[in-house]
Amino acid sequence: MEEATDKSTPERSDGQGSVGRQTPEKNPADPPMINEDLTNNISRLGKLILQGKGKLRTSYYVQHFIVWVFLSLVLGAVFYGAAAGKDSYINTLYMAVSAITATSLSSIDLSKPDLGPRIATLVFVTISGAVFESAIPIGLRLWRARGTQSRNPKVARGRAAILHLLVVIVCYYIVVQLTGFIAFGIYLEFSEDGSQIMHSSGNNAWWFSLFHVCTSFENAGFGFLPIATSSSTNSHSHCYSLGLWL
Amino acid sequence: MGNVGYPIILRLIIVVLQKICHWFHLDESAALYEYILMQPRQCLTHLFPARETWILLVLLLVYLVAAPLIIMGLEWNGQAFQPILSKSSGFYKWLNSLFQVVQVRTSGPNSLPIAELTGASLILLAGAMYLSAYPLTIVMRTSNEQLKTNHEKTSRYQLTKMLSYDFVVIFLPWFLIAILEGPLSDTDLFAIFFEIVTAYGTVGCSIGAPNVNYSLSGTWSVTSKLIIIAIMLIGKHRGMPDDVDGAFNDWHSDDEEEDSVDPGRQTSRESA
Repeated sequence: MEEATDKSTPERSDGQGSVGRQTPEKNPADPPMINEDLTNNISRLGKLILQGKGKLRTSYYVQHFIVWVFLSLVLGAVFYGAAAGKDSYINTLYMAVSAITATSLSSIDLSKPDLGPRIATLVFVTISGAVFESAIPIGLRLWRARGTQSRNPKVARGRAAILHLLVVIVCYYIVVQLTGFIAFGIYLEFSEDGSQIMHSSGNNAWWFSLFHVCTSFENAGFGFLPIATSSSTNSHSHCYSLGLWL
Repeated sequence: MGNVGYPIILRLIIVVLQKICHWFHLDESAALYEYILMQPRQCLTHLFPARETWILLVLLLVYLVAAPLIIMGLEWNGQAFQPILSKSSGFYKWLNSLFQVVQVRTSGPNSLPIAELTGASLILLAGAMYLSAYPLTIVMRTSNEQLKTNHEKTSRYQLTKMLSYDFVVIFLPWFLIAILEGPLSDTDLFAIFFEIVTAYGTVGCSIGAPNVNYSLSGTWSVTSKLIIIAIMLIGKHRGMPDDVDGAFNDWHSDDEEEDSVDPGRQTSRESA
């Protein structure tokens, strides 16, 4: 029993061992608390990374990089599936990495009206933007602190503050993109220049607007129009609208 | 608004919300927004103290004013403005130049045909792409409260560290791709350099290739594509905090103080 208690309490890096926080004794009659165990395990991992010294602490960058490489390989396969095998894996991997890094270099012609690659690109770009990414640590902190109250007023105030901040970020994320989507969509649908571009390129104004506004806001810059011909030079309002959301 | 202007606009929104709450006597919310403004890097990776935010704003404005004027000057009678000469107007030239310099700092759509730009403009754009992440990243790193020494917190230390790292990341791939894709003309060599810089800056502004509607690197061999993929991933990580960030801090410093709401999860400290 004593051995089990020791294992459940992570050793502190400052040498205080199990003197710190202890886990409550578990009643055998209680139902298994899977979520709580999962939370504790993630919490321990977080502590190991954050409190660790030497190699473990400084390898945060490397750990993050390895996760991204693995994620790229998986998303490359997803993109390959979305493209229905029309392109080679190296090209879909290239596109997936370009999307999740918000680079927008392309090895596939997105001006072709294939829905799969376009949707895959849009989804990958959406999860890679700075605004979305910056909200992740806040979400993790709030998730970690759920169901608990701190007796330290400073900590409690900090948690309330980041909750307010998360609300602001989410509103910002939605409002900016929604406004851009509507404004750009109206322009493309109803203006002479816009409808001419949509007609000549064979695109739907609202789908075009959604894709371009999202990809511009996330700082990727993928587009449906051929790279060689710059529509923006023929349509100054288009240029201006997109430029606003960059 | 989604990248370069994000910290600036977000701080502005928080300031406005704090003032509004103060006017309507919502003291609790006002205090929370004030806390965020006083401890920005404890709350978010992309929210900076007032001084650093002002520096970012000034740098952004200087760039947005100066770069379009330089591009216009270099390209005024060049091929790049030919498609819009029917609406020959300084305003449209300025607007397209502004669009182009904004996008090379962040994303990829072009308002000017890149392949038609003069060499000087291309070098300017390459420089802008290369430097695009520097202001934000340096401010992010120097304002990280987890850094141990004052030396690490200086902009000069972070700049030197990044420059030495970037040198390897850009020139080694340039050398390898030049071997893999050779024989090459001087123009091709510059195009490869431009492609590498745009990948490393996660910008995606490619000179392009004839008869294809994708980037120049899309026409390269598998090995060269893998190199570009690696550069994009490294470039993406260029903008992240150098070490575990203050914005992740809640996990270790606060745990010792927290109690469970659920009576069944009382800590041993409380029991004692």
